[in-house]
Amino acid sequence: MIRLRREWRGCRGQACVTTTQRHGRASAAMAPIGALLFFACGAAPPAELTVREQAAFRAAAAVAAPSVVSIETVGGLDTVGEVLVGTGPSSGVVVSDDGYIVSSTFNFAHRPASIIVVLPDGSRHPARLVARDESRKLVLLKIDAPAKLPVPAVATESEIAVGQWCTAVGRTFEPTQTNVSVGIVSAVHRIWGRALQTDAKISPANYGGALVDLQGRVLGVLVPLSPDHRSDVAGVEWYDSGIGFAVTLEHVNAVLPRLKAGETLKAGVIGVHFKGTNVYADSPLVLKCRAGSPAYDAGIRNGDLFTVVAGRPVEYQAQVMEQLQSRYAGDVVAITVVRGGETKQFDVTLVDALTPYRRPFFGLLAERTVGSGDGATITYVYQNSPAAEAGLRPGDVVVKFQDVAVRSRDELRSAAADVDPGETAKLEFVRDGRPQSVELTAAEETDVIPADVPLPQPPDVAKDDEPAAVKPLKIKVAEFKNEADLFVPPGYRDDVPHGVVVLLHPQGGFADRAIVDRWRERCRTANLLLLVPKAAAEQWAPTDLAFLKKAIDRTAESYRVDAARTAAIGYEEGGVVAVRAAAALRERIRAVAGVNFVPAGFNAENEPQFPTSFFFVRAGDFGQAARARAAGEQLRNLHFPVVERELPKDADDWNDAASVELLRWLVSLDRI
Amino acid sequence: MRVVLRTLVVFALSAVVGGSYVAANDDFDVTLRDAQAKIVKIHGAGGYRGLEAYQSGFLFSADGYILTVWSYVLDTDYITAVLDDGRKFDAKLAAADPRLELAVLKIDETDLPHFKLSPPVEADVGARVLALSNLYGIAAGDEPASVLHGIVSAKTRLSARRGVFETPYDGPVYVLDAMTNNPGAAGGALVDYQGRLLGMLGKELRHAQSNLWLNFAIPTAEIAPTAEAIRAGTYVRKTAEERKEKPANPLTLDLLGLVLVPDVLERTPPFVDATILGSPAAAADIRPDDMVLFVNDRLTQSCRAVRAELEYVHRADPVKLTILRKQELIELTLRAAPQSSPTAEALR
Repeated sequence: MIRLRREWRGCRGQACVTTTQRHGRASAAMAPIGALLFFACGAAPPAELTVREQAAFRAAAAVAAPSVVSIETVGGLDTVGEVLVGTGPSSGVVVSDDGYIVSSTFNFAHRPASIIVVLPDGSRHPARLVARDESRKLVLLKIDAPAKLPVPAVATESEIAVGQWCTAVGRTFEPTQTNVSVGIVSAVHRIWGRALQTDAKISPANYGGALVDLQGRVLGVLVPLSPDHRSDVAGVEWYDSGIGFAVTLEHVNAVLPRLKAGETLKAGVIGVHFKGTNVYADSPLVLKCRAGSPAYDAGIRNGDLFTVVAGRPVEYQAQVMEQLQSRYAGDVVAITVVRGGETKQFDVTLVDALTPYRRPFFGLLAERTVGSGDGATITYVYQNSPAAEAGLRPGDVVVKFQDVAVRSRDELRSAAADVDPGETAKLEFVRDGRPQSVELTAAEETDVIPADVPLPQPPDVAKDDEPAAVKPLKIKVAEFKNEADLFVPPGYRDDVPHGVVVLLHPQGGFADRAIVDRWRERCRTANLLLLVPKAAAEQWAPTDLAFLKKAIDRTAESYRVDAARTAAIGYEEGGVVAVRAAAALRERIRAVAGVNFVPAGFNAENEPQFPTSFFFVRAGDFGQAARARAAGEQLRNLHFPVVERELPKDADDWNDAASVELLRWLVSLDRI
Repeated sequence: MRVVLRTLVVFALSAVVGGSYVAANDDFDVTLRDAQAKIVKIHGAGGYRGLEAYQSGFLFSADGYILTVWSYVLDTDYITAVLDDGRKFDAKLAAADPRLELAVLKIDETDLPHFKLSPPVEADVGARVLALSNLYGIAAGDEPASVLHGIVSAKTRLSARRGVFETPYDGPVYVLDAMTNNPGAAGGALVDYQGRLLGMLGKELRHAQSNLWLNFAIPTAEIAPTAEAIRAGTYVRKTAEERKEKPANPLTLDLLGLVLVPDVLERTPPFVDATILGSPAAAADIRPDDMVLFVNDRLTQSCRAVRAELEYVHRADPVKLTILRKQELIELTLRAAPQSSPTAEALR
C-alpha cells in the first residue's frame, strides 16, 4: 500500500510565467494525489467498465471533433504583462455554420497581425477578429467558410450536473487530430457566475477548445479565468492543475448576436460600495453610492439595503456580486432596496467603467475625536476656500450637512465626499450657541499646503523622560520573518486619534538610523506614531505587504490610530513599496510620500471613501525624474492631489523648509 | 481535503454506472501490482541546486536489464537500483543513446519480473493509461512506485514545430493528461489497463516559447530496438549528428528576390516590402504587403522565422510559399534564380 511520506508540493503550476520556479502551487498537486488515493482505496474499477468508459470518452470527443478547429497567429507581442505568450497554435469552436468561431482571448493577448484558422481537414482560412467578450475572455472570429461548418450540439445549463464526466477537446498538436483530456464537472456558476469548473487538464493546449459531455454535446468553451484578476492571461497559472474553466455554450449562443454585430462585451458595474469587507458574511448595505454612477442615477442612495437583485433575494454581498459580475455593461438589472423601512425598486443600467471620481474641497479641518459627539468642530479654515468665503471660522460646530446630521469629523467627511465639485451644499453649524446655516459651493481637491496649518504643540515633556525614546516597541507577527519598530510620540494621548507614518527603507537600508532618527524627531513634533517595518529579505517583495497590513493592525490594536492620516513614506525602492501598499491597503493607508522613485503602479481608483494624497520629492541627481514626473501626472489625471518638490542637488532628504511643509501636509490629510 | 472528496465522487459514480460489474472484478489490482513490481527506483548523482539525485526505470529482462532516461543522475560510478521488493543493487551503465535520451542499466540478478518490449503495444488517443514512476522520490525501500492515471491526450512529434521543444529526440510521443512531468518520474513506465508497456515516461520538458511543461512518453516501438541492441551487445553508439542537418548551401531571401519589411520586433509580421525586378519572387507576382505565412507548409510567425525556415531548404530545391494577400491565401512554388543573376546583383 502506498503511504504519503511527506507533504506534496505540486507539479508545474507556476510555469508559463517568466520566473521559472520549479515547483508550483499546492493546488497543482491534486492530480497525483487523486491518483494515489484511487489505488490506496483498493476500489479498483472493473475492467469492463473501464473499457466502456474509455470508448465513451473517445466517442464523445469524436462527435465534437469536427466543430473544434486549430488557430495559428502571426506576428504580435512577446509578453503580456509578465507572462511570456506562446505562439500557439490554439483551438476554437464553431458557433455558426457560416464561419463564426469562438475562442479564448488568451490566444490573442499578444495582438497578432494575422490569424489563420485551420479546419479539421487541414485547409487554412484567413480569419478576422469580429469581437471580444472581455468579461468572459472570449473572442469571435470569422472566416469565409468554404462550405457549411458543423455546429456542435449544445448541452444546456440546466442539464449540466456536477460530477458528470466531461472531455476537454483541443486541436493544437496536429491540425488534423484533436488532443483530449478527461475529467468531471467540478462546479457550476464559478467566477461569480461566469463559468463552470472542471478537473480535466486545461491549458494553452486546449484554451478556446470545447468541453464536451459523454454525448459529445458542447458544455462550454475552455478559457483561463481568475476570480481576482481580469487581464487576458489571468488564470493561466492554474493550467493543468485540476482547476479549469469553461464558459457555457448556452451563454455564448445567447450573446452571439451582440458579438456578431461587432460589440465588445465588458463586465458591468453599478457604482456602489457596501459596508464591511466580508462579502460572504456582511449584508449588502450601501456605504457609498457615488454621484454620477448608474446606481445613483437610478435613485439608489447611501444607507439603502439591497434585498432583491434581478429577481433573486440577496442576503450577503457575495450574492449581489454573483448577480452583477456575470452581467455586461449595458444590461439593465432590477434592484430592490429597503430604505427606512420602505421598499423601493430601481432599474439600473450597468456601465463598463465609472467616470473617475473627483473629490470636493470645502477648506476645513475638523477636530479629531474618538467616537461621535454633538458635531464636528472646525479647527482650521483654508484661505480663499469655499468655507472661508462662506464665513466659517474655527470653533464653529458643524451639525448637519445636506440635511443629514453629522456628529464627528468622519461623518462630515463622508457626507461632504458625495458632493461633486461645482455643486452647492447646505451646511448647518452652531456658533456661540446659535444654530446657523450657509451654502457652500464645492471646489476641486487642492494640493495647496497652507503655511499656517497649525502643528500640534510640542509636548511639555523633557526628551529624556520619554519611555519610547529609549527603546522602540518591536512588532513581530508569527508567520512572518519581518519585524517592525514602533515609536510612540511623547505627546501621545489615548483620547485622540493619531496619524501614523509608515517609514519604508530603501533596499537594504533598514540599518540607516540617521533617517529613522530624523523621522522620530519629525513624528515627535507632529505627534504622529512612527512605524518602521523591515523587508523579509534584502529586497522588498509583494509578500511584505501582508506583513505591513498586520503591523498596522497591531499598532491600531494598542494605540488610537487615525486611518485618515496614515501615510506610507518611502525612500527609493521603499517609495515604490509605499505606492503599492497604499493601493493594496486603502482602508489603512491614505497617503504616499517618497524620495527619488517612480510612483508608478497605483492601480486603484479614486474613490469617495478612500481619499489618497501624494507628496513626491526629487533630490540630488535622481536619474528617472522624467518618468517620475510622468507618473505623477497620471495620478493627477485621475484627480488625486499630488504635491511635487524638486530639491537642490546636495539635499538627500526633505530639507528644513520642505520638512516643515511635509509635516503640514501630514497633519492636513483629513481636510474636508 | 477536497481532493479526497472528488476522487471518491468519481469512484462512487463509477460504482453506480458499473452496477453489477463492481463486485466481480479484482483483476485490476493484480495487474497494477504486477506492473509496479517491474519499476526500479534509481539513485545516482545530483542532490544539489534543485537537481534531484533520483529517477525511475523499469526492468525489461529477467536477467536484470533496466531501461531509464539518460541524465546527469547516471553520471556517476555509483548508481543504485532499488527494486520493488526493496532489494538494493549496484547498477552498471550498459550503454546510452543520446538521440533517444535513453540508457540501459544492468544489475546482477535473475528471474526478475519485467516488461516485454516486443511486440510493441500501441495506444490510441483517448486510451486510458497508467503512469508508474517514483515521482518526487516518494517511494523508498520496498514501497511500490506511485501510480498516476490519465489518458493519451494526443500523439504527435516533438519536432512538429522547430525550436519549440529543446530535446534531441524528434520522434513520435504520447502526450498525456497525467502530470508525469515532475522530478523523478522520467524513466518510469506508461502502461495500459492490462499492464502492458506502452512507453517510457520522458524527461522534464518545457515548451521553449510558452514555458508550459509537457507530459509525455516515448512509445515502446521507438525505444525497443535500441534497448534490445544494447542488451544483445550489438548496439553501435549513435550520435546526434545523424539527425537531418541544414544544407550547406541553403536558400536565402536574396536568391528569391524577396525583400521583407525591416525586422524591428521580436515577432515582426513577415510582410513583403518589395521584390527585386526579374527575380523569381517578381515572376511569381508576389506583391508588397503580401504576408509570407508558410514556407514549405511550416508556419512562419515572423520575418526571423521566414529566414530560419529557408535555411532548411537547399538552394537547388523548389520552395512552396503560402502568401496571405488581403483575406486570400495564395500558394506559390518558387525556385531560386541561377546563382549569378546579373539583374539581382545590379540592383543590390
